[in-house]
Amino acid sequence: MNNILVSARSLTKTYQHITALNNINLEIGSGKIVGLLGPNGSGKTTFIKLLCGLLQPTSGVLTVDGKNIGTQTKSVISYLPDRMFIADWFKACDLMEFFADFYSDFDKNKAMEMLAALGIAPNDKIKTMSKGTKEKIQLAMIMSRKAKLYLLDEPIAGVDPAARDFILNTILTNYNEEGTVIISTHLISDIERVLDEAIFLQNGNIVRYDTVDNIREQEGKSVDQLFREIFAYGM
Amino acid sequence: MLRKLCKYEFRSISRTLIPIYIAVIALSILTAISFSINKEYKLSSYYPVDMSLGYTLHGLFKGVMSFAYFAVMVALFVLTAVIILQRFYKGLLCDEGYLMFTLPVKPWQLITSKGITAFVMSILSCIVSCISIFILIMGALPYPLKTLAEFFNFENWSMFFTRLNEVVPMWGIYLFEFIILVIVGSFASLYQIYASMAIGHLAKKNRILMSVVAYIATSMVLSFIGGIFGVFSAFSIQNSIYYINAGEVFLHALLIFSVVISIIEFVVFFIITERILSKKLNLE
Repeated sequence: MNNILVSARSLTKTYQHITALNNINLEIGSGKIVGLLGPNGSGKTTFIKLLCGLLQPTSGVLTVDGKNIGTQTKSVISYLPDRMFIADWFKACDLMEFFADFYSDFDKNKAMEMLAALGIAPNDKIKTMSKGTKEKIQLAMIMSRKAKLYLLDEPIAGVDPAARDFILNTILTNYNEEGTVIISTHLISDIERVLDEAIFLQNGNIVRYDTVDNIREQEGKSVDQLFREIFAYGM
Repeated sequence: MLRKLCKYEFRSISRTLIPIYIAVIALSILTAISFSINKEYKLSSYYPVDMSLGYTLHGLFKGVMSFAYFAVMVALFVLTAVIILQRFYKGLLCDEGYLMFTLPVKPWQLITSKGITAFVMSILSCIVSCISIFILIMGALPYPLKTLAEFFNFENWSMFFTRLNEVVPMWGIYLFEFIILVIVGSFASLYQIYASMAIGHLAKKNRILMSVVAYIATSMVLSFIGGIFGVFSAFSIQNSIYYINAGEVFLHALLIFSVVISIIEFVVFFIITERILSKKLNLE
């Protein structure tokens, strides 16, 4: 049984003269929650954008579920960007219709339940919502899909601790257990408890990729502590 | 998938344009009414110039209506153009692009849906302005109902077409060629705009400015190529002027030739847009 969901071989992405990802090789299996950890500018967002087809690699091969990035992989990837990506004139119900139209794995009932839990009525306009609610409704849409791969780019940056808990709980209770969740963040202490594996990125290179249990056993410290050591300044 | 993309695109565009359409039609009806009131008043008036309050107020009303009408017609065309630009720029190249380019659709489908909806909406804007002008003319005419009846009189039209067939027997073909030219020409200009925005997107910063530069540059290239063909066709007319129906042949050749040129422009601009958005996409 082929259990490898994401595979990157010699994956490189350069913007003009800046190398964002430098010859990355990795394989990520199914059914895991993976933290993509690294400071700003380490290549986290670039890697996620390559996976969801928003960027084309400069060289190397990247596959999801054994296929090159294209419409087939896009239909099994549920992507939450680090910004608002829905038109603000949409109503909540328009948004659900949109997702249901384009993604066959979208579960409308689940979405309705999540919106109800958030106190959002189907006829509420996105425009009138607060920034936090907009972020939550986007997350609700993304997590209502039964996707093979969830890509969450900085889902907890810039929200208060209560919202952070809500977001993590939403992810944990709703993701497709056969699928994999990749969460990019630099706020590790908040997220450590949910992670199975951690990828440490630095200047476009993978400096460590291991399970969280292994890190704790071998290093005798938490992922957060390891992160602080790896990315310490001027030591 | 293309159909679904178009559905959302139409929803998004019509949200702004349909209120404008309604405003244009409503204002043209009001303006027409303001012109038709008191049309015979002056004729029956004893005094050559009426200085009464009612007449002056009516004049003011007419003036305000005409101005409002003019403003809303300008708004119709400006808005149509702005929305077409904005739907492509904001809908694909800004934050909404994060949603659209991760949908399980091909970039060419995204670009095609933009083009189709923009085309249909431009046609609708033209139709609405024609209807509005028609309403205005009706209001300005002394006997609008009589004229309207004549307009829909079948005999008049059959007379018109009989005459037309005598004078320009090929009018049907000309009309057909002309309509095709308008359609492919519109698509060519739409995709010139899209291609310019895609080229501007290649720049690291000042993308809007670069799009404008790209548009000016492509327009210059087009007019240069057009000029070259113009010179050549002028020479070819010189040689064919001795034929009996040279004029007709020339007109057909010109129309068909323009259609072919527009199709080539359209295809080139479409491919440029598609390639850039497939291979060089780099949303901010």
